Amino acid sequence: MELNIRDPEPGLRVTGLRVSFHGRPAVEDASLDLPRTGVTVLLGRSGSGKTTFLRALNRLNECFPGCETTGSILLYPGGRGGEGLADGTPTTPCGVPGPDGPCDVLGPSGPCDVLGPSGPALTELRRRVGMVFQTPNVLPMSIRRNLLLPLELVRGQLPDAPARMQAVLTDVGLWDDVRQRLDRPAAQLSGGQQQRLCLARMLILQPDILLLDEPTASLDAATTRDVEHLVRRLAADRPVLMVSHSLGQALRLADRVVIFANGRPQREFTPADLGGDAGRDALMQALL
Amino acid sequence: MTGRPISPEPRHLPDRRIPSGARPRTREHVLTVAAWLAAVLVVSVAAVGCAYLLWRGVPTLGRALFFGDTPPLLAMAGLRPVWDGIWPACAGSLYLVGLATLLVLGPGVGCGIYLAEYAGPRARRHLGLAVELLAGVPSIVMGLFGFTLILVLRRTFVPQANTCLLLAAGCLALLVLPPLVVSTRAALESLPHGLRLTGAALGLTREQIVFRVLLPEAGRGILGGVMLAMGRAAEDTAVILLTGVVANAGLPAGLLAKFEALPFTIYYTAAQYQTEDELARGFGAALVLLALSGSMMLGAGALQRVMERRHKGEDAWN
Ligand SMILES: Nc1ncnc2c1ncn2[C@@H]1O[C@H](COP(=O)(O)OP(=O)(O)OP(=O)(O)O)[C@@H](O)[C@H]1O
Ligand SMILES: [Mg+2]
Repeated sequence: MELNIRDPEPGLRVTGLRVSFHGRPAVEDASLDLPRTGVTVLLGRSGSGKTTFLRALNRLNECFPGCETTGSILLYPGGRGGEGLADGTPTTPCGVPGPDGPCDVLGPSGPCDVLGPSGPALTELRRRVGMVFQTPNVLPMSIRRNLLLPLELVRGQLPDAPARMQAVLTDVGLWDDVRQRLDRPAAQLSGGQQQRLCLARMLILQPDILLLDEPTASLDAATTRDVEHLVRRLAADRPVLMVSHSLGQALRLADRVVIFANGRPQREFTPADLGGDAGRDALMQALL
Repeated sequence: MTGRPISPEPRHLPDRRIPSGARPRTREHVLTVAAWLAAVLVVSVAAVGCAYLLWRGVPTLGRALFFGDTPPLLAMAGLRPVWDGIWPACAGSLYLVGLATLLVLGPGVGCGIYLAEYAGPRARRHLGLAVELLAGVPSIVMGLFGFTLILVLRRTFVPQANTCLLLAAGCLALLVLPPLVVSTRAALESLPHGLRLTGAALGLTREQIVFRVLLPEAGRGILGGVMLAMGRAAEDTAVILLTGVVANAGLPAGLLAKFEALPFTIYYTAAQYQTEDELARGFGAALVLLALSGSMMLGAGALQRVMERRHKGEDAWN
């Protein structure tokens, strides 16, 4: 149950990560491997640095003033079966040029250092490492544009863009709700619908790694189950790192539960560990 | 507005609430009344001004005000000069405002975008200071600047240079540049930071975030700035006074020609009128100027609504 940070075949390897804002560390000495597939759930108290850790993986912390990131984050070439999204759309192989140069994330030539000087083009990294925020953040445009604008800007004009839109909206269980009002402002959707739209917006870009920051915080029980099923499906061929505050969700969903405290992953549990009362007690202990 | 607290007060609070509650309530009343008075003041000043202008101006409206004795169609086509009508001044004002807007749009909006999105703290400070300085330049000084420029040009490279429509539009553009920069910058900076973060997380480049996400969202504020700039350009007299406006130029013959403009016509009439008729025509011209800038604003507003609908999604079928 101790943290087993090293995986023989990782999809992503974080070593000695430190993120500080104006000199105050939010994440410190964090090390973790993500396996190539499966859901890793991060559990931890508020303010323990989970969001900051997630944002370090797609270098989004750099958008904040006074942020400094050191350590190493290695992305490994994907061992994806190539079958892509749940709707069967094949994902493009590496080598598709992004808006600023050819893709060099998860390329065929060994791991690439996200933080290093020869790291990937930032925009391509962020497309491939998709993230859903803790609070819904739809763009101030119509529902349709919310999905198609990022797709167009990141992948260029695609003839099957509308089909992709329908596919991802169906995936997140939103298609029937919004098919009649695709041209209405996305901000008019309910909080849970907005969150699912954000999930769809991430999926339409066909990311290789998913970072989900409490994606079900504003969803009802039934929708939460749907999203959980979707996450499980997506995790079949890519790593998913998900923050949750719900123990039940972690138990339902996780291939691995990692306890996050004081700015770093501290312990980890597997479903097998958590099957028994002793395991659960230990988990509760670790959370407190 | 004398609402009682809706939720019951907690019991354990000391019972000071009656005196301490009463004073803010009177203060609130005073402030409310003051706010109302201020609003009424603004509205009534505007109403009185407009009413007076309408009272004096409306009777003069008609073909004669615009074209004098010249047949309108010939006058509009520029085939026959207009001697005692304000049509050349209207056309001159339109040309002037259009040209000044054309000249200021790129630098103004561009500078605002640079300040809000790209400038580092140092550049921001220095450029911001420069914009403020420019904003503080009185319009007559801007006119003098244009005038001096022509003097210098005459002595050096272009001996035949003279004050003209282009020069006046350029000086006007300089005059209205700061408000446009400021409103563009403010419109962009008032957008939530989360929008930038969202764009970045989706893998958009900085340019895509600025030009495809932020700018359309800030369009309302920027268009407001453009409207402000156009309004100022339409009404300013001091700048054009020194840079090429004349009382009798007819329709502007080109960018390098002299021109007439409504504000100058009004000023000139007010200062030089000899008959009551002429004064009345001045009021007519003032009314036309008001209508002109009013319709510019309405047009800009309509444009903005169309843009917004296209960007945000149809809201009309609600
Ligand atoms: N942009 C920022 N600027 C300064 N400090 C920040 C910033 N973002 C996060 N922090 C600090 O880093 C620490 C960790 O924050 P973080 O958002 O990662 O916590 P969290 O584990 O996601 O919490 P929660 O469960 O409430 O979402 C906090 O102390 C926070 O104040
Ligand atoms: Mg968080």
